[in-house]
Amino acid sequence: MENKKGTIVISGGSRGLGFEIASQFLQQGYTVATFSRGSTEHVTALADDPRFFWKSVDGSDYQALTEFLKEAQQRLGNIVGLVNNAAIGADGVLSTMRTSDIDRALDVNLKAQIYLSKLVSKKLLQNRDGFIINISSIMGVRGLPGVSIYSATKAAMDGMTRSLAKELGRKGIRVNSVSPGYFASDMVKDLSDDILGKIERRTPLGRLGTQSEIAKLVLFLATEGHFITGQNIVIDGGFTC
Amino acid sequence: MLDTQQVKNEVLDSIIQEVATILSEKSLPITQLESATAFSELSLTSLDLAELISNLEARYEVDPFEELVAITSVVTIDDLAAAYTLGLSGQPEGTHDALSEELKAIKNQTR
Repeated sequence: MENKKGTIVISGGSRGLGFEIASQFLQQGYTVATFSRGSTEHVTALADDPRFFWKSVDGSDYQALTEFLKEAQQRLGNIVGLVNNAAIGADGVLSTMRTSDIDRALDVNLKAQIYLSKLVSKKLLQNRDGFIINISSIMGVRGLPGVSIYSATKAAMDGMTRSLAKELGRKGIRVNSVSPGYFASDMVKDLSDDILGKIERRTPLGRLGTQSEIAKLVLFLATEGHFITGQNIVIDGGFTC
Repeated sequence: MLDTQQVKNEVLDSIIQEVATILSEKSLPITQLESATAFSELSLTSLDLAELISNLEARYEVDPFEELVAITSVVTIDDLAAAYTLGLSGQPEGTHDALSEELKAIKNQTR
């Protein structure tokens, strides 16, 4: 299937923020290719939609990613953008964390996104146009106890954003990070009401963000932000200001 | 079936065509492009070379730089063509498949 606007690749688009981003791109007339480890009711519901392609892929498997992108392009047409969204939490005091949990977080949050950026940037170079948006976090710019590995992966991703923006800018390819603060998602579902109340009080706008607000920022950077590259846009209601 | 020299000649033509396009789009002088021409002589940036390689990869559906060849070893147009020839045929240019030749000889003897 070929479409005029093109195909957006989204890692981890089967649930949560990733699925919200996928939905908003679909609403704007793009086709969407996404992958995750497991299926969800969201992707099952879209299984018959010819504008949407989901596959079970381990993002740290370079060969599997290569085949996924080939299949995505064959099914949906020209790839015009990438949203590196997949991530897992890695909570805990570093000295007591299992090395396997550290490795897994590095694989999902960083290695997979680097592999995907390498592969998709080839497609964008062929087009001399396009964008990469890395979904980072305020944990990449602010410290917090218990999230050192998560923070490290997000800060690393922001570093990639800046260097890749300089590397690819001459070919018309934009690279940015979006760093959400606390928003309603699986990542905060286990926080107590007391903690959530404290977060809201520390947030100048007095509430958590929503997935829709973050997805709209991603969509803006992709479709309207033609002179924005190499930036990390924080969307946190003022939490870090 | 194409032999490795034919494959290489076809790849060489593609590379020269792609390089000429890039030079033209950058308004750079298109000098005489030959297999011995070094990329460093052409005022192309490393990003231009990345674009060239992306286009070749899309055309031939093979990435010789993933394992077979080090990108740093590519100096001339000929080096790049040799890399893709290796990626496409699994053999360096001009090599002969000795086993195939031997089997062919045996077949001829039994006829």
